[in-house]
Amino acid sequence: MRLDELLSALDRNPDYRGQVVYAAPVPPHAPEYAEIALRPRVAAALDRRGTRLYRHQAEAIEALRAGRDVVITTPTASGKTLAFHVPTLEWLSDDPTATALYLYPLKALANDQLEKLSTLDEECGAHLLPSTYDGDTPQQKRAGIRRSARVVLTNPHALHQYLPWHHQWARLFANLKLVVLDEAHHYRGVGGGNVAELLARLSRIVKHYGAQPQFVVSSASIANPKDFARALTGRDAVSVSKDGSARGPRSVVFWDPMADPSSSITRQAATLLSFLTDQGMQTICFARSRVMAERIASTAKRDSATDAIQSYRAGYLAHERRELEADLRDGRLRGVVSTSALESGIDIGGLDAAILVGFPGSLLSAWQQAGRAGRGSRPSLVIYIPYEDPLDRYFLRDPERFLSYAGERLVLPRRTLRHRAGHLACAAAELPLRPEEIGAEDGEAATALRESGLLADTPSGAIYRGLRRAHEAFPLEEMAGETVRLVCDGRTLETMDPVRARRDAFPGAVLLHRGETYVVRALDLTEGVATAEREDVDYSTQGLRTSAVEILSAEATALSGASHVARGRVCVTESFVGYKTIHDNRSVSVHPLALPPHVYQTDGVWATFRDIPQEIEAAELLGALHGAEHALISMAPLLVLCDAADVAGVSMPLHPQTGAPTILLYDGIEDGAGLAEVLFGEWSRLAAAAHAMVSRCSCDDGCPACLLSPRCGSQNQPLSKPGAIRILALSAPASRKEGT
Amino acid sequence: MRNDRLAGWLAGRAAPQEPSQEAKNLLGVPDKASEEVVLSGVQEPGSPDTLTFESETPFDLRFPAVDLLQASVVRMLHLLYGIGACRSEQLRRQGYETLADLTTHPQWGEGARALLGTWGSTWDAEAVFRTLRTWLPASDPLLLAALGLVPRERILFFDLETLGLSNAPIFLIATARLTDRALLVRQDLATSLAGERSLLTRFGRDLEKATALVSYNGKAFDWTLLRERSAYYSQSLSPVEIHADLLYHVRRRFAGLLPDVHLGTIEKNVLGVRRANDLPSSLVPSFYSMYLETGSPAPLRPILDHNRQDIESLALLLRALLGEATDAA
Ligand SMILES: [Zn+2]
Ligand SMILES: [Zn+2]
Repeated sequence: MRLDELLSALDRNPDYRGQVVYAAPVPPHAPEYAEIALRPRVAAALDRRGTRLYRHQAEAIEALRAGRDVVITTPTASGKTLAFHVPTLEWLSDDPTATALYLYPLKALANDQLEKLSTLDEECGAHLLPSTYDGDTPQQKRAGIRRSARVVLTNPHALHQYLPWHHQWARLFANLKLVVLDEAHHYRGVGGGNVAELLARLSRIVKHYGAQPQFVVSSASIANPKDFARALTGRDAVSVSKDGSARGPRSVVFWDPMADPSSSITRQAATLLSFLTDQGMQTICFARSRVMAERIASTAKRDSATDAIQSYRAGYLAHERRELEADLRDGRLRGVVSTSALESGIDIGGLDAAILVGFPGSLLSAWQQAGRAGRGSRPSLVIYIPYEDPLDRYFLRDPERFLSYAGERLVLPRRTLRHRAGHLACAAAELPLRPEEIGAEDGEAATALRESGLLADTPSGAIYRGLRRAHEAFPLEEMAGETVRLVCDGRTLETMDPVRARRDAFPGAVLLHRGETYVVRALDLTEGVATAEREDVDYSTQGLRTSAVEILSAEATALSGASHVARGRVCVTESFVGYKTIHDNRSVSVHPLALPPHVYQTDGVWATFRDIPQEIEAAELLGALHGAEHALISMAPLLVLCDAADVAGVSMPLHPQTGAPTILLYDGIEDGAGLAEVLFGEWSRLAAAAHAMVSRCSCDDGCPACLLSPRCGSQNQPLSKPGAIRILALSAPASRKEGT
Repeated sequence: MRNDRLAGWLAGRAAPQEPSQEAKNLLGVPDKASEEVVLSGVQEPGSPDTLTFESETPFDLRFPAVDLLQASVVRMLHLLYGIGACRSEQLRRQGYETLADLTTHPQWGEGARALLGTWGSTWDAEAVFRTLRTWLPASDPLLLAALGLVPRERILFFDLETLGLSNAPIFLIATARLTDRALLVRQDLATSLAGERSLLTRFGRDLEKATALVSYNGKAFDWTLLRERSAYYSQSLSPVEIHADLLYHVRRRFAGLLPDVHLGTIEKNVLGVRRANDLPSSLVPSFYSMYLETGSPAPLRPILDHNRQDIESLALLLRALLGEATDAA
């Protein structure tokens, strides 16, 4: 359906209230093919499939053939996987002993890719004997896989456990040609730092066995592919980011649910879903939680002429998921409502339309979701429905920002002492650490390990001598500082760091885990356990944070407009004083919390304003700074991949250490996650985006779509919208005031 | 994270637990470095970080007579690929009593000739074991009796002491060999963590002179660990074809008769061994750590005694189990 037809069909719909505020046609692009010589069997297999290589795939293949590493960041459905499957197929059929290792962030993704790779393997007769190997691999199959699989698909947690058993994998490691990190955008923040350390350990072992594999990093589109690949693998990679695949015309519709205040967002999404399926468009709708997905699906099913609308969730059994996925591919299922579980990886074919209910936290995710609509050169439709959140609604006012997405930055934190010590202990348990393998920056960690009796020096090198296996004494999540377990019915659902535990897992908190809602009953910080129960609730909760921040050291300074910006180490005293329950985007009630304050060190970035314009009166100054702080935090996810809740802040008319009016933002995790560093480098753009967001909001005194923060521990008091706009203008260089 | 906090974080996952005061009193191990205890081990040339202790105990071990063993093995027609219980019975009724008889059978003759050919006229122990292991359960008494095919000086008993539960450094390897009338025990002790590598090298050399291994839970634990630790030092252990893990036989033989299958329980109830002031296995790592920290050899004495008793009991256990195997053969 063409965009104008759709819009006029909408106009004729009696339920339509003029919610479409912007509708942009995105022009199609024709496929750009490239002819490169392939091994006959691979070429024949691709011919039989009717597959021709796109230019970006050929570029990646040629770079790999030239011995380079590759980071490939073309969009969803552009055929990234073929770009590394082809070299795998060719190299492994040229050399019958050669092997490859594929790492996936999640087991489900590895399983899905195993099927595709197996099919390709059969078609080419390359005898890759691909196999997954992880916690789910049956005991009786393990030895056989170690003996003969030539492509092993696993995940970082499993690799962490298996590295010390390297002698059992000697064949795989000694013949390793290619290491593939697929869906690598999952490796961000502290967890990503862990993966980088793990890869360094892998490289060390592979080197011990005499192999020199090349690395492929495959990720959703991001702003800094080369830097990210280097941070992850420690090696330089050729970046392949320009999409050469065919894409049909795409329309992106920005839908303002506030245009119909009588109807909830869920209701409007359901109406749209049934409308589109009735127009014959196969549609996927993304919701934040499973409860919401089910509500949208059942409402849409009731309204729609078709029965073929379902919800999809991560918790389904494998065969149920497979059926649903097949029904989607075959077109039997006309509408599906999913949590982010279907965002990427799983093959469901291309649909006609995607509805995004709420901004999924990053443009990276938003475009992964949008990418589910569109198949080859057929037209597709994306409808974006924002919540009443500053960043969500910002895109209604600045749709180009959404449309011209070039990717957020993906950063890994600087290595903490804990990371170094933990991975050093594991490395020493894998092979004795020779003195030259302990870098200057590891010295302190190595000393601490020696002093605690975990490392001992011998003529063979430093060896690990703990009572427990190093890989059990140092689980990956603990090195990432995740010392609190979220437990339901005796089962650990996930682990989190103590800052996040206080923020998201306080008694009474509603937590989302794989789309399901859980209510936390107790939080024991000494034992590191949050106890939760599975419960379908239709509200969410928000912890209210207050903090005091002491600056420990400034490591860099810069000028941004008329403000001074600095970054450095800070000490945070953080309290969660209470929490709000939120129903249908409206705050329903506030409850007090009695959690002890938490003191920790992290990275901060702060702006000081020495010349406050006269228009801002002294009494208004705090409200101006406070409002600007909220706006800056809301916009942070535009620049660096993070959750707005990962960044916290304080503002003061006179900071005792800077001696000036100050706004300070910090990484809300012990030791930092690398966010403050990016925000420091991008401060002018951040301030300009915040300025544009606030000044374009039509409210008078600040509203939930600009200045009001659901997380504010001081009840959003005081706030001054005109003051905030002036403060942000001070920090945004003149040429950038109208957005970036 | 500052350094003191890192130390706190590490402390939780670090050092072995201190032995309790009672345990120390019981063993008469002084707290401080002591001058009273002198270890009379021998230092091997070229390995400054190890000490070796040798002892010889009179020990009489009789294997079932080889001809008896052979007589019972050749009657096992099902050792031939393709022959099950039913077909064995059928063949027997047709007059094919032994594998030797089968060599003339029109259908099975070729297989029988090939099988007996791999064993050779003198019955090569490794070849016979390969066959028996394929068709018999690991706990079959015949597998023990078949140790009689191995020249007795090529049977190697072994037992390890380590610094932890899994993947921890090995600091003591005991091996034992049989002579006609005695058991020769050798204990190689690492006097610092640097000695582990030499222990493994030496054990590797022992393996070259061994055709069969005897251990207690050695298949799952000791052998796996030896391989892992050798790989850690970029060494390899040449595999030994025959490994009799007595734990399997104990499990089968004493199922339901004993509260558990710990070696100590077997000693008390089956072998009649009484240990005086024995160091419990669970304290071995902490005693060795105590030695590493203080430099005093005092905690090593009880470890060496404990370990020597372990390997002597292993030999006694084999004798006890063989008594039964002889009946079977
Ligand atoms: Zn507003
Ligand atoms: Zn606030």
